[in-house]
Amino acid sequence: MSPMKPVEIKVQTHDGASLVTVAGHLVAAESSYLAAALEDLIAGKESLIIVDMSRVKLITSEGLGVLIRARKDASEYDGRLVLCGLSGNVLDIFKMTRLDKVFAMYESPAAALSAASG
Amino acid sequence: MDGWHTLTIQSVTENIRDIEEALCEALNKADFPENDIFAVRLALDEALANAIKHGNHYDATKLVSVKYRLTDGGITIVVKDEGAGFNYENLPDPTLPDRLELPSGRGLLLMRSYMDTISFNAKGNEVTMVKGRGKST
Repeated sequence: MSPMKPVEIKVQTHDGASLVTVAGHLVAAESSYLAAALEDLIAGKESLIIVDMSRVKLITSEGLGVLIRARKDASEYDGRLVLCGLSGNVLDIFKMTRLDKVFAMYESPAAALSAASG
Repeated sequence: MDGWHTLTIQSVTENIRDIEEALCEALNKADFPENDIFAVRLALDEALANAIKHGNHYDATKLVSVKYRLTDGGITIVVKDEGAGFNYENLPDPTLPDRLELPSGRGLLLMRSYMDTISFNAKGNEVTMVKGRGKST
């Protein structure tokens, strides 16, 4: 049995925004890695957190829960958490759960940044 | 290709990965379409997470068993925990406006959406999921 490669998470912060790039499967065993990364940014009261989902292949209810909690926690200090790069099966999951009505979604990190500064 | 296979894990979330990989590898070898493998991985992750979290309450001494049967027509998966069971019939709709921003409660919706059928035993600690080969969700 070959172990699945854990989810990869990269955080870059500049110009008042943090970009969190996620790759892989945001499933039950992996979602805690994203939760930890987002908790660090929220502890630092980052004003804008952009989560790039373009390389996420699958998200389950655990992964959705992590994003919902982080969005709420950020909003408590007037911070924002937005998503970008959703497509295919992952976008379908957001639509099916109606979370596309909850999260601000953009095509790319640049579009998210532009919308926030505009 | 017929016949049941059984896998058992302790109730530790990281163990879910091994079960998912085993089943997805079996589906891959049997040339199931990518969308079927996606659906099974999603539903299996939800079922196993529920069993470990709500069924066995993360008690690593308790086990979760997974039985699966792969045929040319599809796959049947049975996930069972050692918990008291839960009432799956009275779960609120997570897409209602007042529940939309709650962080949990979407697992069953996703399982129902991506598998052809799901059913529970009377006690509520065993779920059976069926996915036909190549059937759209």
